[in-house]
Amino acid sequence: MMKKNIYQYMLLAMVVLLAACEPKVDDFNPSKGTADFTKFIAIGDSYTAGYTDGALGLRGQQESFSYILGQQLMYVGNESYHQPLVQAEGSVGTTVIDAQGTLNGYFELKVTERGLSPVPSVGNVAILAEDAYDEDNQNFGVPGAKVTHLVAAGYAQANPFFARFASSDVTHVLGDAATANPTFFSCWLAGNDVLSFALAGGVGGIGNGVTDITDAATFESALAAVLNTLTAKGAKGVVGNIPDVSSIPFFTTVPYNAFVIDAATAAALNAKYADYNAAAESVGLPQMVFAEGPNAFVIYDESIPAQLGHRRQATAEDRLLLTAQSEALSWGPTSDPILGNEFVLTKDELSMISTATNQFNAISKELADGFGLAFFDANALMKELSTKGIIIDGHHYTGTFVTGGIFSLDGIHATGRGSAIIANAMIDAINDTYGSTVPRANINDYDMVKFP
Amino acid sequence: MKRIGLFCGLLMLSFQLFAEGYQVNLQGNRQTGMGHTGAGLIMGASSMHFNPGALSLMDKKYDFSLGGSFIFSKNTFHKQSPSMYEAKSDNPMGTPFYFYGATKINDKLAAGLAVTTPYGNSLNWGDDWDGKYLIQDISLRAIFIQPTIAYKITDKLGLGVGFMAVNGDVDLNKALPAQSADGVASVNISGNTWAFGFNAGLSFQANEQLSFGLSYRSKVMVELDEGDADFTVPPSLGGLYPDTKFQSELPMPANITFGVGYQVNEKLLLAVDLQYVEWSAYESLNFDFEAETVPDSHNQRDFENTMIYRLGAEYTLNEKFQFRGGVYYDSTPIPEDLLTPETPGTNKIGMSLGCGYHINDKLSLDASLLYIHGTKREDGYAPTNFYGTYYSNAVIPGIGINYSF
Repeated sequence: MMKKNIYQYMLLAMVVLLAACEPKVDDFNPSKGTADFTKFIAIGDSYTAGYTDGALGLRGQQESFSYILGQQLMYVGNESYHQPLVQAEGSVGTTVIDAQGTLNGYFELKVTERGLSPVPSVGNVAILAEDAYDEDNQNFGVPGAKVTHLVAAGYAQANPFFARFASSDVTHVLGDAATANPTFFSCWLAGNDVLSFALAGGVGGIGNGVTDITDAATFESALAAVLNTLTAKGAKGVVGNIPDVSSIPFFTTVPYNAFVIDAATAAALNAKYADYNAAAESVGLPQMVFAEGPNAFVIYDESIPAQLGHRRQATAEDRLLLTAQSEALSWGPTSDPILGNEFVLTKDELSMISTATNQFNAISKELADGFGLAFFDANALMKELSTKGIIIDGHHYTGTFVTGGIFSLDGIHATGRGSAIIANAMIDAINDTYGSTVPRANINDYDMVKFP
Repeated sequence: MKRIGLFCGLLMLSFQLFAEGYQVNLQGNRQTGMGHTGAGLIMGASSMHFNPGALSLMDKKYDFSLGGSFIFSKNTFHKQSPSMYEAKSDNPMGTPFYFYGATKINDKLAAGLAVTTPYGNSLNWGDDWDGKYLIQDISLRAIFIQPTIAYKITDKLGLGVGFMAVNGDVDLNKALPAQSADGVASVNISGNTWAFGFNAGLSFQANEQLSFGLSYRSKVMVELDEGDADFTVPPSLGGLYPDTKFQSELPMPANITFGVGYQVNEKLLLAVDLQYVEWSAYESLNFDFEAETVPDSHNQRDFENTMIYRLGAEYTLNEKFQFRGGVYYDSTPIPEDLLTPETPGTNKIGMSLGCGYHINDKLSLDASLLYIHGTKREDGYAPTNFYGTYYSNAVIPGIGINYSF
């Protein structure tokens, strides 16, 4: 009897063994919840377009957040993600890098005399002249676009990045996007409404100029128009807000006191500003003092009286732009070492930016809720990155320039990994709102800044 | 037996998650066939590992035993939901082995030498898998060389002690979060060193049918003072990450095992073992690098002590053949939120079969087949935020030869 039991037991064990040679794995089943992802489109600015490392090129287009989101949505019904892909070699940005008016291409990290530094490659302007229009297009991201531009007819005539794929030179971005008949969209397009002002160092005011901060009422009506049009046929979507400049490396990398000089230069500057200091004292403004080592930069500040030359030393309450670094390095022995308006955001300008950012973000949230859309809090995400950072799948990401993993070499736009992290934050918002289970992208599959 | 086995299986399946570290319990094919019981049994030379006290009670003048196993293990990782990502490890075959040689010096005294491999780990997730910043592949091996002496205090009571010289060897690769045009950066960590410990055991033959055993194997702290860390990084970072030496240590935890053997009748032998493993010795895995520019790496482990429950049976069919079977339940020492892919432990159920064949009265062969089912575990490593569901199993055939006279 015992013998019989043992044989049975052996048999049982063999069956278990053969059946289980591979561990049995529970499958994950993506589901669409209450949304219809059949036709996804993305509308927005340079982030949506795939701008990275200071330029638009094929590489960035294939690792933008909108591309990654489009791919992930394919698990829940999205049929394709067609983009106005760059056909020419290389990439093109908007910064003039030499006297001949050459535009930059992708920045590349290189070993220079000053150590590792991002160096612009030569851009390919042929990209701006391409005709990438296709009625199947699903990416309506236009580098440089503000929300007000999306509803501006004829915007293609003002922005070659839109002209590349616009259906005509009198259309507007929203019109083309609506023609695509989306069932689902991402709308993250608010960045430039404050960033254009900030990137120009706060040159401008509130208004519709290129470097102005958009007026809040105008912002609201333009965004409402975009969402109204896109949801008119029942489409659902996700809306993003604006990250504060204090969490973007373009505005956080150069310290206000990174003006390093020797003793002789310090003495010369102290002598040069002796008169300034006497005058400043008489009107109760701070004096300028220089010593060997790191000093606060001298900056242009409109609010300082003309008799003091609209200049003062920067404080911890000002923010220097990333471009201040190369500007300071270009100073020779005979230069007047002052950072012009375009290199500095003063305390007052920062206050305008912060007020506008808060207003716009409140409007975005209200409209997203009003239209029943998912909301991507880019501001919160970037704030977390720039303060304690985020640990994902074995790596600690921060908002630090070059090494933080999130921001590309222009200090504003995302790396492939930064884009994937953004896409995943949107996916989380979408899943929360629509009860779907869109799978997240694998962050580690995407690129960070490449070191030489 | 079948009922007991199934019952235990069901009971164990209903336990909550948690796994078994880097211990390898395959130190005798006869014992492996019986669910790796043996602390309460008198099994000749192989007792040096299971309970050196039993060595003094061996009935042959000379006893030699040599064998090994072939571990075919599989691990599957499914990333935390919602994700489509799945990875399967491609583990090299593990080959633990043992050698025991013992002799009775006189009626009271026995001595022997054991060479065993009770700890090890061999796992390869691939260079480009999603957890590459935690681990790409690891090979951990420890060889225990143990001269042993045992003394028969009375005809029923034996005491044995062994000195353990341990050769530890580690080789692992992990990716580093820096990229160049040539790909991702990585580091290879390797080292080999010696460490020492002891074991001791008491064996008590209560009567013809019943035997008891209590065995202790000390912790062995393998301290590596001069390991090699070889970095593969982009050239512009080469100055910060030179190839360098490192210090590290890894404990082989202490074990206390209590076992009972029960000779039901001439044909049937039953065995039960309770093995307590003091995994709490493994608090952290730290690498202190000699080069100042390379940041030291401190990794929380905080393992917890565990108990392994073992049941085994041996049925003697005739003079030539013995059949064996066993089950065990091995709970994981790895606490929640500290589960790494380098040791993706989980509660494990082992089911074994074995047979013995006596070629003649001196020579015999043992074969065993062990199937280990790891219960699925949905967990991860909080310090690096890497979560998912781990699945594992292993099929382990083994063979051994014994010569005694």
